[in-house]
Amino acid sequence: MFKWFAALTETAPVVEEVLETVTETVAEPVAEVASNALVALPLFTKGLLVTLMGLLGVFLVLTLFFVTIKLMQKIGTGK
Amino acid sequence: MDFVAILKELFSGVLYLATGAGLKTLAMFAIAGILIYLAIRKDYEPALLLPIGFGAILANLPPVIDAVTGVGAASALGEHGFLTVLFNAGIANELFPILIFIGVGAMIDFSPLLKDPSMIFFGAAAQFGIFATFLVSLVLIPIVLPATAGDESLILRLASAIGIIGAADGPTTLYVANHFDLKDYMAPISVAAYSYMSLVPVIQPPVIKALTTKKERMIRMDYNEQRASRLALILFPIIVTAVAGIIVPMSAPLVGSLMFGNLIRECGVLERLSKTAQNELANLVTILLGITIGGTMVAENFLRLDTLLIMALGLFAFVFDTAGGVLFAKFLNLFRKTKINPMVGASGISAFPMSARVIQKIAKEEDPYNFILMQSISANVSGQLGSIVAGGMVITLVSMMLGGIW
Repeated sequence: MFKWFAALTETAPVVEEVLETVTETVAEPVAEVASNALVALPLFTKGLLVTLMGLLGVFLVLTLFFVTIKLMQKIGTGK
Repeated sequence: MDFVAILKELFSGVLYLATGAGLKTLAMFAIAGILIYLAIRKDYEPALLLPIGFGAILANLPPVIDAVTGVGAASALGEHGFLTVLFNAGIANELFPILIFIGVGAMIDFSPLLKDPSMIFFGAAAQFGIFATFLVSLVLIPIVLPATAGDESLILRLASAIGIIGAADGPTTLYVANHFDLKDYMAPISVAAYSYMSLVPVIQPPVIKALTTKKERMIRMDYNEQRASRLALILFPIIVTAVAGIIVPMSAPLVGSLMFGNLIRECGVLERLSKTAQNELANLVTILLGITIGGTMVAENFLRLDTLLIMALGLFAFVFDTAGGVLFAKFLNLFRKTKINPMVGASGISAFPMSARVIQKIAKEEDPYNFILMQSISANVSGQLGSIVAGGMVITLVSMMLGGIW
């Protein structure tokens, strides 16, 4: 297990460098384009997006809370 | 010095009331009087409406001209006035809503929700009105307030704050309004939010009765008496904070403070702190918050068309939040063998515990042996969570639409 952990720590900097490169060359420009695209939308379209994504987000988060509670109920009953 | 000038100076406050601005002052005194009357005589959320009403009186007293700057303002509101100090200390930096939520969290018992977690979805459905009002506001604001036409940023921000009024959650409303730098609109937004919270017993019953049949209102629901495990009650606030903070980071301060208060209550080893949070902290911050909000009700900022629009849209949001919860329950009943009383959906708003009590009262009117209080409380506490998450989502999404500058 110690060998496995040592190998992991050796590869970590390489993985970090790859992720940094991907972020700088792909993710950041894409995020900037997406942001500009959102800002350029008509007002009512923005509103519809906020409404749909907002409601979805609220349901998603509360569904996660629901799952959490169900898991805790199972822990509580020892299952 | 001229004797007349001395008299004019001494009685400048009285002479002020005879001016145009003075008449607005008298109008604000009347509005403040109505709030105080509702608080004392009708017992409508007196802890909030009375300080707000009194703060409005203080904010609209005849101005004192500052000898250095030449600017006139009520003495409680000037640059060093105590209401200004309180505003900067607790509202402008969003501290008071956070502290209130610690107290609210210490008061909430999530046991009913942990025993019947399906009620959590009513807390989500009852946020429908927020977003419906947001959309309607986007259309109406530029029409009713032509000065805002073309200013997309202001329209989006104002629509966000107005929509959140529907959640019946004063601290979240203040948090969103302040985040979007809507100081000029803080007065009508906060008064609308807190007034409608106190009017839950008046607003919700007609909406519920319009959307349900007597037979639906008489539906009985089973209830599990066993209390949730102590471990679950301790883990729940911790996990909720982590989940909400990771997925909706902008909701972290409100969720975190609410859950911190709840953890103090449920851990079982901090009874003194729990009692302090539920009583002294909550009461102290309520006093300061109420009077400070009243201090924002200055005539020039309040007696405008904006105020009427915000009050009307706030009421629309409130009604549609109630309707959203009821209709969601009716929708679920299409697929369920054991029916849910649709009124429980209406208590998915954040007005805890008033909404739950209102629902139980209506249920008892229809059937004296129908007890749905605990189910309503489950939905009510989940509404508290739902409104905070909705507030965080609105801040995040609207900020994205504005290019991430808020």
